[in-house]
Order: sequence, then C-alpha cells, then structure tokens
Amino acid sequence: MEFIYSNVCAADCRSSCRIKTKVQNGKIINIAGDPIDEYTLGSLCAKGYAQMHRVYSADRITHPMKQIGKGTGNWIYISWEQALREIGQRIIEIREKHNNLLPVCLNKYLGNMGILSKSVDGFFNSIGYITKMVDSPCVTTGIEALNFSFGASKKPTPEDMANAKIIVIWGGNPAWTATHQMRYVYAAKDKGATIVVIDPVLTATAARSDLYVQIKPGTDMRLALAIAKVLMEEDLLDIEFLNNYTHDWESFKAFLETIDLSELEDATEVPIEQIRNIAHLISKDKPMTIWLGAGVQHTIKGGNGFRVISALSAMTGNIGIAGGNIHYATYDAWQFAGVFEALKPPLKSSVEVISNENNGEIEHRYIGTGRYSELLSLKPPIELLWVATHNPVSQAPDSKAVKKALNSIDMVVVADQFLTSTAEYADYFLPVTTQYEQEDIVVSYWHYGAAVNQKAIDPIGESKSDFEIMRALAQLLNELSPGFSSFPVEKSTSEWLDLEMQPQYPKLGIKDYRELIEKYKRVNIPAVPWADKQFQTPSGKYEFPSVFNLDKVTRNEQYPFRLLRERSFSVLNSQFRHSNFTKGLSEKTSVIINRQVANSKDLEEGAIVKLYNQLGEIVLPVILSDAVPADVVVIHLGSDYKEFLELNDLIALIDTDLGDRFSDAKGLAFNNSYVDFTRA
Amino acid sequence: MTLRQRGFLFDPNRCLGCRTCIMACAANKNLPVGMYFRTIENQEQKIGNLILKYYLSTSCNHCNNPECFRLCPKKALKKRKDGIVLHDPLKCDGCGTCTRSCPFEAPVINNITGKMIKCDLCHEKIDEGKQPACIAACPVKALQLINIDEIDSQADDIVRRLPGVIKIQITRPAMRYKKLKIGSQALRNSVADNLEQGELKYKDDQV
Repeated sequence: MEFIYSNVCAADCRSSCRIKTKVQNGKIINIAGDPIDEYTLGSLCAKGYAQMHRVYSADRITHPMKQIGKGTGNWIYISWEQALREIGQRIIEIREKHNNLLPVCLNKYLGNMGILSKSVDGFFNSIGYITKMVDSPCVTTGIEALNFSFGASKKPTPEDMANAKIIVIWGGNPAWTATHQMRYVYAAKDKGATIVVIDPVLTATAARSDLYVQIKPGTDMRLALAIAKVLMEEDLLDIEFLNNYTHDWESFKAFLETIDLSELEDATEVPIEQIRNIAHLISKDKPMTIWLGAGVQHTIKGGNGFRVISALSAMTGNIGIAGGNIHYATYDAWQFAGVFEALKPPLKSSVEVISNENNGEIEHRYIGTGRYSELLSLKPPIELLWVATHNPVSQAPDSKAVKKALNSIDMVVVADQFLTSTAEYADYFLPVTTQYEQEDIVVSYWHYGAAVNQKAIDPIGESKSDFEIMRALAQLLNELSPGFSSFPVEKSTSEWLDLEMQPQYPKLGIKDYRELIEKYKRVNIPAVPWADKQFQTPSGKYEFPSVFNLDKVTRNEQYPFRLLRERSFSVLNSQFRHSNFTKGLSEKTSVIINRQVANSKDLEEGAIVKLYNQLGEIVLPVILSDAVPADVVVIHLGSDYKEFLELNDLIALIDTDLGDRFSDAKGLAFNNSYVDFTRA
Repeated sequence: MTLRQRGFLFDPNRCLGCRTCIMACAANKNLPVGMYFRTIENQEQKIGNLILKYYLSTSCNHCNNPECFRLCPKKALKKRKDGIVLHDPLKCDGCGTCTRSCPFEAPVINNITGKMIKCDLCHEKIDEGKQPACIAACPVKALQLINIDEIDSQADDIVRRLPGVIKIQITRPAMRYKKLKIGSQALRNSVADNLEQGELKYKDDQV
C-alpha cells in the first residue's frame, strides 16, 4: 500500500518547507517539495532532499542508552522504564535535598521548530522552578537593536523584496542560507533593481551582485556611519520623513558632523569614493530595502551596527513603504496560546523558598543560551542537565568549556536522534523521533506559512517524540511522588496542537489545524510594516541611536587572522552532519585562506594546516581563494566535519553590545575570534 | 513537432551554488547514497582587480556526437530522436568504457549493481510534459530545458563555453550558457599590497 503524507521540515530555517512524503509498506520511499507551498513553490534545499536518508541513517540511535562513565563511549542499552525511573528519581532526590529544583537545568533550543517541542519547557514548568538556558545568542542582539529603533522588530513579507529598486544585502549569504529568497532578489533585479552586497568575503550571494563592497570585518557600524555622513553632507535625505516620523535626528546629525570620513575609510578599508557611491545608490531611487544577515550581529558592536544601518533606511525615507524596510526577523507569526508555557508547578512545590533577587517572586533562574562557562559558577550548582533539540558542544562558544561543564554536572540527559558531540558527554541518551514519525505543526517565522506535519511512519526502533518523553516522565514522577508534576498527561497530541493553535485560527482563517494539510495558509501579518508610521518606541517615532563607541581595539598580534564561519548549503549548524546522502557533494570542510597569504607561507591547495589560538587548535585542509581577504580565514563547514573537529574550540565567549535589555543576556560575538595557522 | 536536440541552458548569473539540483535529482532517481548525476563546481579566477566567481552545474550533456555511444562495446547506449542519450542496463556489463571516454565524466558506475548509470534528462517526465527534476527544483531557474537548434539562432547573450572551463566541442555537447556578467567589486587590497613588499602587516581593528 502506498500513501502520501504532508510533512514540513522542522529545522531552524526561514523556509519551513512543506514536503510530500511517499510511504510504501510503512517505509518512506520518496520525499519531494510540496508544490502548494507558495514560498518554496515545491523546491527543497540540498539538505532537505537528504532527510529521508537521515530517518534511516545507520548512525541513528533508536534505543535508550546509558553511558558508563561520561565520554568513555561505554554505552549500554537500557529500557525506557529504567532510563526515566533513574532520571525521575534523581529529580526527586534533588528536590528533597535542596527543597527546590534550581539544580535542575534545561537547555532546549531550536533543533525542532514544531510547536509540540514546547512540551519540554512545559514539563519542567509543571514540576517546579528550575534553571533555564534561554534566548538566542544570535538574534537577541539584532532584535534588541530594532526594538530600540522601531519599538519592535517587524519585517515585510518575503515577496515584498521583489518591489525594491535597490537591495542592500549586509553581512548575509542568502544564496546558501535562504535559497528561496533569492527568487525575489532576482525578480527585483530582472525589473532593473541594483543589488549591493556588503560582506568581508566574496560569497555566493556577493558574486551575483551589481556592487560588491569588501568590508573589513567588524567595522559595519563605522561603514554605516560613513554612509550616513555622506547622505547628510550631500543632502540626500527624505526631509519629510525625518521631520515627521523620527526622533533625535538633530543629535544624530550633530554626531555625524563630528566624525571624520577619512578615519572611517581607514577603519573599514572601504575607499571614500565607494562610501559615496553606496550613499548615492541607496538614495537615488525608492524603494530601497536592506537584508540584515547574521554576520553583523555576531560582532561586538553588532547591535549598534544594526541601529546605524537601520538609520540609513530612515534617512532615505524607506520605512513603511512597499519594497522598502528591513528584512530581518520578527516573532509576530508565533502568537500561540502558550499552554505549555503557562503550566505551573503543583501547589506543593510553589511554597519552596526561592526568592528572586528583584521582586521576591518565585520564578525560574535564567541564563543565556550558550553561556556554559557561566553555568559552572552558579549557586546552587547544576546537578542535572537536560539537553533537548540542541548540540551545545558544537554550537556554544568555547567547546572545551562546554565539555568541562558537562563533565562536572552529575547527571546529563541528551534527547536526540544521533550521538552528537554533546551526547558523547551524556549519562543518558534518549532517542527522539524525526518529524516523519510524529504529528506536529510548524509556523514559518519568515513567510508565516502554517503547515501540519502528519505522522507518516511509525517511530523507528523505540524512539519517542520529545512530547511523549516528557509525558511519560511526568506520569512516572507522579507514580513515584504523587502530585509532583501538573503536566496534563491525559491530553493527546492533537488536543495540545489544537489548544496551542487557538489564537492562530482567526489569523489563518481556519477552524481546525487539519485544514492546513491540503492548504497553504499564512498567519495574517501586513505585507509592509510600519505603513502607518506609528512606531512602538517611547516617542512613537523612529528613534536614532545616540551612543557610539568608536574606541580602537588593538589586535592580538599573536593571532593575526580573524576567523569567520561560512554556513554551507549542506548543513544547518550541526544538523545534517549525520547525513551521508550529502557527503559526496563537492565540498569538504576546510579553511579558506587568501591565495597570496598561502603562497607567502608555501601552502598549496589541500595542504593540511593547524589552526590555533589561546583556546585550542583544530586541523583541516586548505582551500586557496581570492574571495577571502588577507587578514581573514574562513572555515567552511561541510557535512563531513563531525569526524575531526569542533570549530567552536577556537571561538571565544564574547558579549555583543546589546541583548540584555529586552532579553536575559547579551548576544554572543561568534565573529570576534582570531587565529594563526601553520602547516600541520 | 520534430525535436532534433534537447539540451540544457545554464545561467551562471543565476546559479547560487546551492546544490539543490544535484540533490533533487538524487532523490528523484533514488540514487545510492553518495552518488550523483550532476556536479557543481566553484569557478574562481582573479583578473586584475576583479574576481570572476560563479558556479557551474553539469550533468550528462546529451552530446550530439556522444563518445559513450560510439565506444560502448555492448551498444548499451542509444540516442533518441530528440537527442536524449539513454542507457540500457540489460545490455550494460559495467566495463566502464563510457565513464573513461566521456570528457565530462557524466556516466558513473553504480557501486551496488556494478552497472553504469547516468542522467537520462528525466525523459519520462519530459514525455509527460513535465520538467526534469533538476530544472524543476532550481529555486532561481538557473537551468532550462531547450531545443539546441532553436536557441543557436537566437540572442547573442548565449555562449558555448564559460571562462575557466576547458573547451570541449568534439562531442558537440547539447549545453549552452548565458554569458557571464560580473558586477563591480571594491576589494580590500591593503594587506595584500603589504604582502607583496615581503611582510604581513595588520592594522589595529577599529571595530
């Protein structure tokens, strides 16, 4: 018997592609993009087509396991009953010992964008106040920047980009990270738009631009200030917009008058004539739109960099108009009921003596995602860590510090599909289903399409969804200690989905989420943000930034090369590493080095080098390229890289300039690490 | 309608190097893990102060004079009226003559069956009026299915080879390209200039 199911990719990606899955005798035999998807038009990405093989990968772990000695690799199969009982008993012991659950820590992140994965948070909410690693180390910087400037982070719909006459792509490579969006870039270009790419590296996107500007890494705020100064000096301004809809323009203008273009030229290494050229291009015509990539927000001045870049839109009056604005990020499509978030511990545990320093209210203890070295210094210390849909050893800065933290925590539980580099430091491995084995819903944060993910096949082996794991653990805890968890174990998957989706139904024009199986529906969000020019700032206007740190930072001479990462088309962070299906593609994990620099060090294509800094060293082959400037090395991550390196061994934990006002911690500057290298 | 030669038109000004074409083909044809009918090469050369960078997507070119067809000892290859080069697995004994003779290395030996496999231009889809998998999946329409005989007489922005790619015309590949366009580039040269004077010099970062 052959069946076709509707699925949706649950990876942390703009596209959230709808998939048609062909199942024969209970096995997936083919997957293809779903042509009803109005954003993808039925095309997946390279990794998307490999998903079927990921489901059936020989590397996948489908039985619960216990490791006898962390990091030893001495794993034994155990039953779900044993695994959950031992973990549950430990949770109860922790509460008996401390009279609270703060030594229990949850590190759940974005590996599964299905809304049912919120049940992991829900479970921990249902047992007590714990320590949670929260917020994105990436977008908190950018979102906060736009919150300061606009009062909220809003963006146009993807296709509004096709209306632009000038598109500036700043610090991003959508050709590889948002392939479907390039359709709209080209649609604009086909109608005569000019594409400008600003990036330290000549990326696949930059190679297709009309003007590529190679900026010295980390100097984005200075380049934006320089462009702003030219706009002001040459009177290339939208005075009507400035007068009516902005706040603090006069002080921003006064600041621009004090800065020296030639100093900015020197810092950014963008010649003054090019700075003028960019200013002329972005002001010659409307609408002009800006794509803000992840590059800028990963630097120590990324937040203010975003603020000044957004000021270019305000100065030229490109806010609130079709084809204008800033394409970055919004949470507006994620207005769920929050039933999992709303779960509270039973009355018994809420009498625990936990006082919040600020207001005395009882709540969780929060720490920023990725801040493992800080996790180690918490009092009371963490005794049990639960990691779900995340691989912090690979993704958090300073991988060695993460491993050290995992080694020092008494019990580490990792729920995943593969033995990730984090799972290697776990005491318990709980096998999780892929999206093909569970029902769920994914709402795209980019194109707002809401898609139902049907259960297409039975779970492989003994795998359970995160939801089923949490529900089983709640049940078991209540057996061991009646009333321990308030998790409503009687509710089915579809009841939960229906509850979470209630606020979305009117916005989608549906009455039941199952209507989405055969229909492409979008959460109803205006195509053009800020059309009414009513901003959500204290002044109600667009607010110019006012504080700039133009200090010089002395480069560490010992490590002369700035390390940047390139996300490949075949992986998404550390996901898809286990996908053998993409492994033969003509790309290997390597370090890309400027050709002249390599020649001066007698390094040939393919030479094996050791890259090192104060944190550690990694060894990998060299690609020579003119696309990388001489003071930068780029690590290109392919799907083959799990075997021999952890890139973040070389990435230091450094704060960005923004993030802790609207979230719990500042963002992390992943692009602020330096290395040197030598032939291995 | 008589179709003399089907082929591909590839636009290097659109290709993103995203490898979707390769993987859509592999998924559609259910190819063994790690085997593909299509490749993408990163082409990069510096000419003066300009870097010519583009991606080249290639599969079987369904040549007008295919070497595989000419040399196969088992006569396992045939050329359809519309030019598509097809392969008969029943006749093939996997000797590999075709893989060695093809200038584009298009035929590959299936390591499971031991027989040759290659792109068949999804001829069954074409016969149903559909597009080949690679073309249908490309998010930016960098690949098109064309009738080579018709395209030749058309626009002057069509070329037979791209910069940096070896010119192989003896087999008359059914492959045409859009002429490569490169925008302006403002490259940083200061450090490289220092390098030419014999040492690497780095300025303080003014981030």
